[in-house]
Amino acid sequence: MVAMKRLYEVLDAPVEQDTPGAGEADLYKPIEFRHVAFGYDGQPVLSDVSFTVQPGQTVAILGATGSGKSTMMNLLQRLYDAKEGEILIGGRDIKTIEKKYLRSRVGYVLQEPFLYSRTIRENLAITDAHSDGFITQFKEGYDTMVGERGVTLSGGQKQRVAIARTLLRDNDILILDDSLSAVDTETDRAIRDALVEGRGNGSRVPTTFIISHRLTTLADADLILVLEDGKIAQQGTHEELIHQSGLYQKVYRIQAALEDELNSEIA
Amino acid sequence: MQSQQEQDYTKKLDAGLWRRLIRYMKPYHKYLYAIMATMAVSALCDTIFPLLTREAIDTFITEGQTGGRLWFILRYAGTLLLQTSCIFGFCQLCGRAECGINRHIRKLAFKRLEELSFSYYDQTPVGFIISRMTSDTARLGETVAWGIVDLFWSGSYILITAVAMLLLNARMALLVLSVMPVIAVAAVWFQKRILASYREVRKTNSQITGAFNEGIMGAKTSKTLVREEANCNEFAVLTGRMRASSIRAAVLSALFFPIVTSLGSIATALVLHRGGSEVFSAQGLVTVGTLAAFVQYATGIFEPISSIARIFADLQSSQAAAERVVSLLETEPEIFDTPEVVEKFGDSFNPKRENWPDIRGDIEFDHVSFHYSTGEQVLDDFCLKVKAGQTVALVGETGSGKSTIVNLVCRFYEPTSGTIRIDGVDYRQRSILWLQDHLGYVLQQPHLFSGTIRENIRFGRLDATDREIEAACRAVDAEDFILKLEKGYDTEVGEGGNRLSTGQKQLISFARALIAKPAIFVLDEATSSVDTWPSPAGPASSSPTACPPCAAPT
Repeated sequence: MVAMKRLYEVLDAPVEQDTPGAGEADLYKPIEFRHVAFGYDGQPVLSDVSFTVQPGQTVAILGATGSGKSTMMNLLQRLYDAKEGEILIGGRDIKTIEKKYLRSRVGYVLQEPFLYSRTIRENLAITDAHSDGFITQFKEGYDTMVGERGVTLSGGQKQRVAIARTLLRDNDILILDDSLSAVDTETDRAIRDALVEGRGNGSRVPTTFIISHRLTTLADADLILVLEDGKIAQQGTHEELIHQSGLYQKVYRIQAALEDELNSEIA
Repeated sequence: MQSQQEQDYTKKLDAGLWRRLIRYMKPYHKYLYAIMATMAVSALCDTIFPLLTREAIDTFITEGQTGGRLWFILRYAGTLLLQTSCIFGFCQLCGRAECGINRHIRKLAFKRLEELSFSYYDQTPVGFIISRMTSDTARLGETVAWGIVDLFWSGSYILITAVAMLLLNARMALLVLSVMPVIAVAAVWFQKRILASYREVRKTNSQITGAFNEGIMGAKTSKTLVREEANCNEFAVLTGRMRASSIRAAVLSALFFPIVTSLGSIATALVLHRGGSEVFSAQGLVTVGTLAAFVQYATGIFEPISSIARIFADLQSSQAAAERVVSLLETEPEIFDTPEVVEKFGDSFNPKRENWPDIRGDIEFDHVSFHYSTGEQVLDDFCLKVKAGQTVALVGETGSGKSTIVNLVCRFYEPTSGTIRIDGVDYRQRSILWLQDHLGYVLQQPHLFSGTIRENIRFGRLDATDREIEAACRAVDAEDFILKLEKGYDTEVGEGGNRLSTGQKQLISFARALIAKPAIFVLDEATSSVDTWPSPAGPASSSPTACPPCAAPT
């Protein structure tokens, strides 16, 4: 009886469900957050978040630890649903889009990626995202076993496999949640260049969200959102934001000062 | 789901293995001996009853005597009482032994898991370890305790009964015993096949545990990649394999026991035929009482035979469990202190802190090379000297060996050649605990234990006061976000700290490392997800008390 009760605790836990009538939709459309609010167990995380982004643009998100950056992205893939306000893609509330379909079109590279314990090839299926170089270094190349949870790879290598895995799919929207934190700046740039490469030759570039603490990673974005305590404190482009007083300018000055210091030391 | 293959274990019953396992159960040996003694006495009682029946029939019925009945009743009651107390005794002993052995083996295995080095965890999936620690150990306790009960009872019973029968009537005894080899052959044939199916069941079981683990750990990733269905299908294949092999084992067992019973009935028939004709023959060599005793013996002797066969099958099928547990218990940590070092400085569980030398924190890599057990060369002839108080930053490409260098400093791995010296002494001449006690290490993906933030930070140094904890958090700029949480420092972080963001976890593990006042401080991408901008030079330098040599790969 006790065993049965315990089993039912798992079986009866509410499963993810779609709102009735949810269907598919073209996701390569403008994305709008309209007064979105969210909290975990009564602890507010996001409040009154509003912004709009055009298809193919890059949005960068900057914010202090725990300011709600990852939560915002979780909402976009419907890992959670917004408590208030709505998220619209092409004018359609994402709650009316089937979760499975949405997730299959929204590539999301998590901050702490999880690799399945099988080979790199199986984790990826094909090569991309500047992983080829390091993968071929392994004795067995793409057929190298990734240990459970990817233990035989370093932190940065895991991130690159996870990025490659996501890029392989045909994404309308791409989310990189601090996914480049453990790769070196050079690889960081190479990966971002590869992402926007398609823009020049006319092929479709997914609408991209990048979370990072590195301004160099954020500066090229079409729209930069600065989050403070779950609210959008500032939004604009790099050029606009460095001239406004606020967190972005502060961070910019600090990081620029560090760079100058380094440069002068080298010189 | 699982790549690492379960080792293929030997097919035969391995007595040496069981002896090794039983040696691990030393504190419970006295229980096991007591069980053996009880069971031998109990079997003796069981053999005495048919003799008493024979006496009763021959004396009180056939000859019609009436004297001596009281004495007979007393003897009968006495034997009954003895047997009852034996049964009571062994049930008690066995229960105690089973639970005790479970706990003892788990304790040993857990201790071993705590001792094992990083390389073990690199190669061994969590699911395998969990199934070794839970179902395998439970199975061993049960098999050993109850197996010994059955083995001793059955063995003694067969032996005593055989002797009794031979003494009563050698010809009829041989008749009964002649069926035994047939049963033995059948038993061996069946048990081999039953065992093979059980092996398959256990192997699949640990793969299923592994799949559970991966399903839970990777739940979020599976959702973002929309892999739920693929995972379910793979899981269904595993459970399907488990069902098929379990059914095969059950069918074989179901066939085996009726066959043994039938053979037993044949023996009884033979006895009745032969003995019956002798009872009614002119010579009257066999009394009715003797015949009755023989029928009891003949029907009784086959149950212990099949139960011995079952025990061997049990032992064989638990052998996989035994091998897995023994292999865990006998896995030697690759990083260990030499006996001389343990003698002087104590081991991880009984450190002799009074003998520990003070640590300054000078580090020297002297022509160090290192490769992982997979053969991948990471460091080649690496030399580096760091003075106490210096800060070293490690810069390099992804996968260039930065983490490996700090893992070597921490002695999570040891160099494959060359020497690492701390304060000028090869660190292998000091105990592992000595070094690691003076070490602060903040990992890229830190692990928090379930409990409050305050408790997590106190893991760094158990006697830290609340004030010190708060000071450490201020030093790493974590206090801001902590105070914003509903319960502040007393907020539960959830299992593995998963109620906090990665950056928050990093800050807490930073404070946890700082509070230990380490002589060597390692930050492995520890602040990759943290906004360190308000204090650009990093929190470590904002607390001048902690100025140990830092290794900070970037």
